[in-house]
Amino acid sequence: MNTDRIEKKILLHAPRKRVWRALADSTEFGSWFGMKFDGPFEPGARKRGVIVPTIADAEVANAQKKYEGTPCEITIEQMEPERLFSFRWHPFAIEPGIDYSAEPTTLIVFTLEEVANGVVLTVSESGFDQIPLARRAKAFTANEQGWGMMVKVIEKYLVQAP
Amino acid sequence: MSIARLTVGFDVTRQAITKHLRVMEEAGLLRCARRGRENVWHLEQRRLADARHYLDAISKQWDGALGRLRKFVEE
Repeated sequence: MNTDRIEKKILLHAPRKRVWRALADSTEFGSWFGMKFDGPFEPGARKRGVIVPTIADAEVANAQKKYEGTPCEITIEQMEPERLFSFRWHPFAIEPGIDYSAEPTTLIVFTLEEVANGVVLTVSESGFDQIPLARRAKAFTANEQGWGMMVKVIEKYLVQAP
Repeated sequence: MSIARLTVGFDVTRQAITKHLRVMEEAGLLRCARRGRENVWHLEQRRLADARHYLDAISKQWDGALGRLRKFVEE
């Protein structure tokens, strides 16, 4: 089982141009993803966003409600028109007041492949193995503090509770 | 397991290990119990499992996001 990476595929019944625009245009991307960004996407650019309610899905919007307004930063990597769009972010960065800038990022890559009846969009998120366990646990709890890479080393040597 | 044993084989100080154990304790992954003169650390299995299952939650979030993208481009 691959613990470092998640990959998803979806067939979209829409023209390639339309799918690309929904990814590469920061306003369009934001409206389905559920974020509002401070400007257009460009390779290498660091974009600030805030979590906003997503369109068209009330249940998800409700679940996201407690995160509404949470700031989020993404760094755009590559943009190959109608083919590939990638960016980096901090996947569990939902605690207010923390500076995540020194922590590892995961890489999100969208690729588009034209098929007979539409576009197969593949999205992968990778780099989870570098995210220390304590950071993942803190995504669930309200507590927060700094952590280091060594936590990952230590976890291998912990004794089990009887 | 005690700190003394944890430091064997690693080029780190007791202080550094202690600091990181406290971080994991704060995160609810570890419990610290006193045994005589030593602190003994125990793993909270369920919390560890929760942290690992976070990948499942992320996976579901992507399912949701892609569903919204589909609605967005196909309408």
